[in-house]
Amino acid sequence: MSVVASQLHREDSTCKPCRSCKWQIPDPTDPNSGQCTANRTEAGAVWKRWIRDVMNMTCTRHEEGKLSFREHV
Amino acid sequence: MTTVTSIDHKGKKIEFFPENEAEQDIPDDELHEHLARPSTERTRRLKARCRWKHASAGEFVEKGVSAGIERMRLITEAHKANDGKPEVIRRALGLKHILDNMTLVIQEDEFIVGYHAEDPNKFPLYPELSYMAVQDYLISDYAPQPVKEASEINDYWKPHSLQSKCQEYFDPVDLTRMYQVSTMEGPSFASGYNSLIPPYETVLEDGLLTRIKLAEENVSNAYKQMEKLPWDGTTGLEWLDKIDNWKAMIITCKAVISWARRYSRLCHIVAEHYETDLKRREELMEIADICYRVPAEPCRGLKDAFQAKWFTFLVCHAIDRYASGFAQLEDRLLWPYYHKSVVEKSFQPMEFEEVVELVEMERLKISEHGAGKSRAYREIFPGSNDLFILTLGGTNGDGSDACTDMTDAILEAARNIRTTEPSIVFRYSSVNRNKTLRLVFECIRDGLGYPSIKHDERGVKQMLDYGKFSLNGNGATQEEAHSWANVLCMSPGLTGRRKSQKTRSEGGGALFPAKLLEIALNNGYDWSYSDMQLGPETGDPRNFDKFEDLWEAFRKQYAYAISLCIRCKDVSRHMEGKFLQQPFVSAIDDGCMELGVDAVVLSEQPNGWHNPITSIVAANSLVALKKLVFEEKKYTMDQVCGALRANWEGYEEMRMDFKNAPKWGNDDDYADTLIKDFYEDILGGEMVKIRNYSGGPVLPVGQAVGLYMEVGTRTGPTPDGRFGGEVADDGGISPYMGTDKKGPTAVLKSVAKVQDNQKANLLNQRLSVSMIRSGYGFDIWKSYMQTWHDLNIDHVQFNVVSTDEMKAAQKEPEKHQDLIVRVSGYSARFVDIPTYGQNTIIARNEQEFSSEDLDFLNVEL
Amino acid sequence: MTTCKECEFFFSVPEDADDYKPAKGDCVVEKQDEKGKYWLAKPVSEKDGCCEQYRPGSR
Ligand code: SF4
Ligand code: SF4
Repeated sequence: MSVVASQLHREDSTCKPCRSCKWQIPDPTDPNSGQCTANRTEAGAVWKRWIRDVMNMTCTRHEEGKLSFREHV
Repeated sequence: MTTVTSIDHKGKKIEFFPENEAEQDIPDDELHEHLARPSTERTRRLKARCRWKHASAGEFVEKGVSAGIERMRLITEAHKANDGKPEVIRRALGLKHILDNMTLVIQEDEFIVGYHAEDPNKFPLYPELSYMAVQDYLISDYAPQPVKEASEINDYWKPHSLQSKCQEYFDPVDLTRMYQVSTMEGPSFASGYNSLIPPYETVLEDGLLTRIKLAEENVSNAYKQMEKLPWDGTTGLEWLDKIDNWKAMIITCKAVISWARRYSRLCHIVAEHYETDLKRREELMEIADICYRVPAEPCRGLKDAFQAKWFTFLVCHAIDRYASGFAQLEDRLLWPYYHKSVVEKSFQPMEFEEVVELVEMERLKISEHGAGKSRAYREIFPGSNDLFILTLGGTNGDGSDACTDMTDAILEAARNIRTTEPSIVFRYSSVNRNKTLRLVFECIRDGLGYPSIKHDERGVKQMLDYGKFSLNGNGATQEEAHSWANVLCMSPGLTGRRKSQKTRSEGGGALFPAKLLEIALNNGYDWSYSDMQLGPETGDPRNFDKFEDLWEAFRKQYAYAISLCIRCKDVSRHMEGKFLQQPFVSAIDDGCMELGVDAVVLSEQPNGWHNPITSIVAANSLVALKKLVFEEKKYTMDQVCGALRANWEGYEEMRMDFKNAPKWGNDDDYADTLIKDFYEDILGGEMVKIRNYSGGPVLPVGQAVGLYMEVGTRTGPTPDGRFGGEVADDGGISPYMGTDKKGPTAVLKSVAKVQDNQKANLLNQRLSVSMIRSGYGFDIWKSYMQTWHDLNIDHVQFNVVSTDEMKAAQKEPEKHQDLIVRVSGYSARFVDIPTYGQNTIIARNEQEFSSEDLDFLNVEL
Repeated sequence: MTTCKECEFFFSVPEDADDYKPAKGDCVVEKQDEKGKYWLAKPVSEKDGCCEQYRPGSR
């Protein structure tokens, strides 16, 4: 399958892993996985994507930081 | 209140002015900031300095809250030191080691004392339950310090944890599906989440010294039985486990007494060496006396009862292991002590007002109780601390009204102090006295979101029905069936000296029909969240040529999910019985004491349930598909699949058709007939086929908590016209927000149609502020409740809060700290909820009663 | 070495207490933060080496 850089994809040992991205929050159960919350619809909904491996996945929207609880779900 | 509603009814114009005239001058958007009235200066101060521990989106809202290391350190030391001992004794010695060595905390102004961590801003962790939950804390801002030591402790527990012990017995793919919480809630062994109802009654009535004596007699009798001649190995060996269990009970009861007496000593020391205020000094001496006597001895008055109950709560819910909930039938449990202190004045004499203050203080204790729960559960009750829910009201065994002045004191305190926790369930029966109903109404009117109302007779019948499946033929009696309380938000379970729920095999945990339908429309594959196969292959939907094909595809997805969920709970319980026994809970349960069986092993009263959440999104979607694809043939399944894959982009006209298809909650027979079938034949019908650990069936408890938001964000677009990531329906059997367009009584008529194969179903209603706060409010509400009751509906809860006030709070959160809303099954501080969730509450229809509604409810105005 | 025994915050466990052991004591310290005052008690032994909160003044 081709990789679209702007979408979540695998990149082993990336220096911009989802783990450090402001849009990521950990998976509800397994902290090695996560949830990407970057996809926010115009109506204010947050449409999440599951991140299988937060250390080895990324995309071009990566931004360092952390959002407040108010901006998550 | 500046907004006044009016309607024409029976030929006259009715205007809804506030019942309390002074409210006319309070702006609508700050009303709730004017309603708190702590009953004493002390509770005002306690509330002002309350160390709230609300969580939202996995984060703690207040600064400075973090996990403590003390409990995890102590349980690890004990586990290592007692290797080789019988497991139940090892568990008992673990609790003893914690209680003997843990830091005690006493705060200014407190009357009920006791805490479960080394600092009032901290909460404990439980590495023996889930190593993943602790791992998550280790990488969070709330990590226990020093992190290195905590991490080593977690590594030690990894092979010994409940999670590791259970995982062995599952396909890793199934576990990956569950851990992400999109079609199913994660298993309790991976989160450490639990619930129980401690048999408080035995602690208050007997005291632990009596329990120790009983266990000692049982041990001595067991040795005598074993020594009988001639030896019979087929029965004689059964005594071995029993002896261990009773010995473990003795160890834990002694440890709890000694811990409580350490509190007594601390009160003395603070009074004598630190406190300068004479009155407080005296009070500390009084607390010292109470903690010396209880829970060792029977409670003699109401102060004793509150303190003994609190100690028991801490041990069962937070120190021995984590369990959510504050389940109890509190008015009935405390009434004998109320009688002694307030009516007879024979011990700890006091007036009604002092009881109210005690209740307010207990509410504030719960408000600052920290739960070391996993991320999943820090996400799904946003704006609150944990699911702390107590039950009141209902009927006695002879059918008479069970409301007492203790009930009224609890309600009055809740109304006065305004805290999100604990939430209250009121068991509504036609025989409940007016005075108490008025207080129930006042709490609801003031926007607390509780009491949520449950149908008393339905609960009693349910306990008797489950009791028939008792594995030892000792299910609920008629009298016991009348002593039910909600275990968590929605589901009744027995309270009392025995037969209450001890662990999670009975009840709790969710599965998500909206997401299950989404994957049924993709042959079991989840393209929108996890990009993996989430369920069985149930066919390409483009090839479904009858509605029944789709119906059965959904059924298969659901049947797979529910069996897996219940299997997880039962495997968990099996392992708990081997490695996570609860000897203290056993000691205070009459059944465990009599039989010498551990509390997590013994099951006398089955009470299995599981929570379908997001059912209405799925049900409305099925209605729209049936109508537009299979009956009217306006669209093909191919078009539907294409439109959903595009998140309706480029398909707006089609989306509007699906959005405008008949919806639940409007007394529309087209929608309701199919949805009734969906609930009774699939949601209930597939569950009821299952037998769980306790030998009983499993029944659905339609719920939502905050999962309707979480799962909404993990669910792609659905054929009810919903976009991907949008919120799902907010509760069990509640109409989807904004789609109940025919008024409040049409909602009741729809909901009343679903009756078979259900344990409970949550109904969320948002009522007009001006109508409910008017002089007519109580009459309207009472008639509404009677109609609701006569329609045999299980549950209802209310929001009475204006959109203006919620919007004002979004703009200036710091000015709206007292604005409480009902989310679903629990209440939350509005400003502590993420914006996404706040908007879902604002979007609910504020129902106004029309003249037709009032006619149907038979209200005289 | 200075020990808990010499500390103002050390209180010997009385002999009639359930958890009495020779040399055992309660370390009781007063704390204050923006939410108010509170007291913490933990078991120590009079022979334990003192901690950074030590204040001279044995009882
Ligand atoms: S925006 Fe990209 S890098 Fe950030 S969490 Fe999402 S997928 Fe990962
Ligand atoms: S631990 Fe520290 S504060 Fe406590 S008694 Fe010992 S020296 Fe004093």
